[in-house]
Amino acid sequence: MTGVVAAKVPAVTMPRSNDRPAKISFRNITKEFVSKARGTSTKALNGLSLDIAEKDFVCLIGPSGCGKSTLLNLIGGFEHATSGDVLLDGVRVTAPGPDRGVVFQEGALFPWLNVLDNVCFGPRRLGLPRERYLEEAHAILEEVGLLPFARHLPAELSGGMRQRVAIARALINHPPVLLMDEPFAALDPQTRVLMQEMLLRIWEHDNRTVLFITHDVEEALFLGTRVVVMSSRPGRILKDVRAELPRPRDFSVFGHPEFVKVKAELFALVREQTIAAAADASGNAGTVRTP
Amino acid sequence: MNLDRLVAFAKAASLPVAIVIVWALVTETGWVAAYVLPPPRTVVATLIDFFFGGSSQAYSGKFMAHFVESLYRVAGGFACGAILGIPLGIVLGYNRRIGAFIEPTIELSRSIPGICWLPLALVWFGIGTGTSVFLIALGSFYSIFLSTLGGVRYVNPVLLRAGRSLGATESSLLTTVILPAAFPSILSGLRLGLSYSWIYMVLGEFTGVNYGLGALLLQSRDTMDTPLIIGLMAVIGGLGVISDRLMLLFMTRILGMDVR
Repeated sequence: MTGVVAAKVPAVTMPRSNDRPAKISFRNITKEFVSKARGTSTKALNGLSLDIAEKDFVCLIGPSGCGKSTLLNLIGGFEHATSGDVLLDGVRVTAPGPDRGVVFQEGALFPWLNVLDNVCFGPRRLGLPRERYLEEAHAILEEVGLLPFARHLPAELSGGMRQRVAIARALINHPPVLLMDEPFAALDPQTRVLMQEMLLRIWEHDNRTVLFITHDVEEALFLGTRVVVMSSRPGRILKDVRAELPRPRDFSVFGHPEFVKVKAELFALVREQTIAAAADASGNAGTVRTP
Repeated sequence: MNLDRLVAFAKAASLPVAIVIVWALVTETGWVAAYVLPPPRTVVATLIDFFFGGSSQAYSGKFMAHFVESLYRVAGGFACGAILGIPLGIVLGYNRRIGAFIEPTIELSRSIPGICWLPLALVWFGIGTGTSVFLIALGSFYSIFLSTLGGVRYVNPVLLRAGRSLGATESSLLTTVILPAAFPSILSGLRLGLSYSWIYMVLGEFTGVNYGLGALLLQSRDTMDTPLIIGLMAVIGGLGVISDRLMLLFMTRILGMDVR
């Protein structure tokens, strides 16, 4: 396993959503962003703890600037917590690695590589044999419906197609954990639903652990096994609900009475937090001048 | 050529054609003296003579001799500028800690206009090829270096994150993400550097060498040969365009890099 220090952190009993072992643990995380130029520091997260069990599909929602992307960047190994532990399988995360596939919001495909080469980037870096990963790349592109576009450059694709390539590129490494940072936010509503259904189809097939960041309540409830609502900055966890809707899910679940009811509740909660964030000195909550 | 391209070409050509018509009118009618501005046909005739020979003029049929001399200087100087500028730009763009020692000096030296180096270059390298190559190297270095540095340093951070999370190590990241991402920027630096090379070629050859397009330009001023002056201006400009196209073709087709 790359990017993870071998020192095991002793297991601590934490409240869990179910009896499976925690794949990802955030323990008492505080994250402060210090701006030397302006002499201020902003607390994005303040003492946040969250456990994500193996095979959980956790959707994290909350108002803009609540620190949900920061949380993903911490487990992704792109940023480091000011204090607290970020654990993957009980081991502290220090750097990015192929054991955590990441799908970014947009613009993260390598523009100089065609679709196939973008997808093969990971296996090539990992030194896998060419015949094996080429076959797999074709299978994955087939699954996301992009095999006819294997030789196209990202600039020649639509936004939805690009995100399908991004998903394929992350999946080919078989990461036990998939991290998704508002991957469908820039897509039109019709394309977004198709992408959500495709993602569910893939997930229902392999059941990997997913952390999915979104600001869309409907998307969170549609996709997740669990929906976690964060407060406005500094981010804390306000609500943690299990989404017990029938699977396999498709768009018809949007009309399900339970779906409608929970969606309304969560929407009200996020709205409250968004108003709080807006009222709080134009979103400067948690910012203090450093001495 | 389809109709759209034909129309676009006609639009682009209309102003040059108009200029040549006005030029021909004012010169052929004698409004402007021929030694100040010769008529277009005289310039064309001089150029034909310069390329293919036919008269007793010293420059008659001597294009290749002058061109080869200038090309040799441009190629040498540009190669020096690129060989210094690209690696230095990559290293300093990649590692800010090393950059902190070297960048301010380069920035400061850049504020000295290239022309100001001429007297010192003459002292160091004497009249001729050495001075020309030095000035061309200097002139092309800055644009190549700065574009490379910018391209390497300001790679979209999300691409670096993607590369790392897909399994690239810090060392493989340079060749698999940073350099390909910086390529368009490096290429635009090279193109700019090449255009500076032609400029400094003329400057270097103004020091009084016997052969070279710039040298001939200076000599034609001494003999008040206005048709040749104008013809050489067109030739040097044309060579700049051709060399730019050839480099673009080399980088995109032969190296297989995209320009976006």
